Amino acid sequence: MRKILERQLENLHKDFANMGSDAASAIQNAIDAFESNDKELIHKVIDNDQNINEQEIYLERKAAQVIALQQPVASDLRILITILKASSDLERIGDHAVSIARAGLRIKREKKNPLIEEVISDMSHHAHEMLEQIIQAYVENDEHLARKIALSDRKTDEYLKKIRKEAFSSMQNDSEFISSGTEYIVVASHIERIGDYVTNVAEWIVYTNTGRITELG
Amino acid sequence: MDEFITTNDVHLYYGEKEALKGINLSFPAKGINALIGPSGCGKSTYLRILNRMNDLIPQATMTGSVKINGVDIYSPKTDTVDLRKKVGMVFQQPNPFPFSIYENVTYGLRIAGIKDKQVLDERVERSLKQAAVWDEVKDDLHKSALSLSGGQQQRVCIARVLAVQPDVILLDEPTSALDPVSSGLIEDMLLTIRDRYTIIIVTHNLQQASRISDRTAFFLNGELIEAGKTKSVFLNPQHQETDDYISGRFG
Repeated sequence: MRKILERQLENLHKDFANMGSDAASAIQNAIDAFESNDKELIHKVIDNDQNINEQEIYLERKAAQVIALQQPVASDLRILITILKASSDLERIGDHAVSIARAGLRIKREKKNPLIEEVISDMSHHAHEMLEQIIQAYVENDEHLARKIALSDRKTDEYLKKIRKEAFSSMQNDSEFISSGTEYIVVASHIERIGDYVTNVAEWIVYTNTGRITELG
Repeated sequence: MDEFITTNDVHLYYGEKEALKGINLSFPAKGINALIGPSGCGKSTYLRILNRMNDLIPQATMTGSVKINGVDIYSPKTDTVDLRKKVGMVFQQPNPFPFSIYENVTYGLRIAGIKDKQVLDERVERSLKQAAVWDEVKDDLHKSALSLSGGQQQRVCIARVLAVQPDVILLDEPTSALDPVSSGLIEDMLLTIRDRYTIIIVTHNLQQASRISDRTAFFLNGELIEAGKTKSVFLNPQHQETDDYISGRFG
């Protein structure tokens, strides 16, 4: 009886890790698409999001099945709750990747600001790394690493502040920057939300380990 | 927690074998407490010390203290008949006496010297209602209790315990010989009387423990490993052995 449960948990664990690396690829592609304004890449990100959504539905259905049929308790149940909750966070990260890619379409013909784009690039790399590391923390069930990653979300918030400041001042100085400046702020806000969702995943990793629901953000 | 039952450093030996190895465990007044653990862990032995049923087993010796409502039940002054009226017990196999349903329920009251028919009638009805079996037997009160189904017999046995108005009800795997519907009726019934009695139930059915109990105690090899609120024990046990047992990794 225990064997079936263990196999099902193991499968869910792998599926969740796969979904995490798909979400990380989506962010990477979205950033590349935003920077290059490559139409094909933008559409690839949009189309791929369907795949991430389906993975979430699959994980939810499977986790509900395991709960109903195997009636797990204690650490097994906490693992399942984490998968259920954190898979929604990954799904939302995918949605933000789509929004970032779409901004790449809108900004294509606008006047760019290379300085701000550089900060956005740094910010997005930081968020991407946070996500890759949180998946690693999940796979290795490393509560310490999860907490560390959650702390590093402060950096994302600082990037957002900096980008807003730069964008506002460039819009004030030159009205031709109004369209691109708005898009920069929109994109930076999406990246900031990705950091928040990674922090949520970190909280669920802490829950799996300790049974305590904590606020790390 | 206001302690209604307190056991301190309880050891119980069956001859050479130490079945309970120093149990410190308390229960508040009112509510359902589940005792869980693999076969031979000592949970039924522990249950039986609470109304001195182990006195009946030759070679069983006990040390430590057991207090119920502040009274040491192992004091030489304790009248065990009186004790078992206050601390009633229900067993795994329904064990109705070979009399009518009515006589089963009034048995303890008659021993206590109550003869007034009106009092007896009233107590029978109330007890059978509390035990959730009144509607099924009210027209056949003078039929033999042995003619009832297993689930009905068990509920009549519970009514028999309730009739003497105990403080504590001990149940030793009361539903393990019953089908799921009868088990469900007994679980529902226990939930309706939990506010009036201190209920302690030994069960191998972990889902039953998690469904109905307020507190859970986990025994292993004669030791108490963990006791606490059921929701904590089943979601976030503090000991690996508890986690392993309730998750079916052993036992």
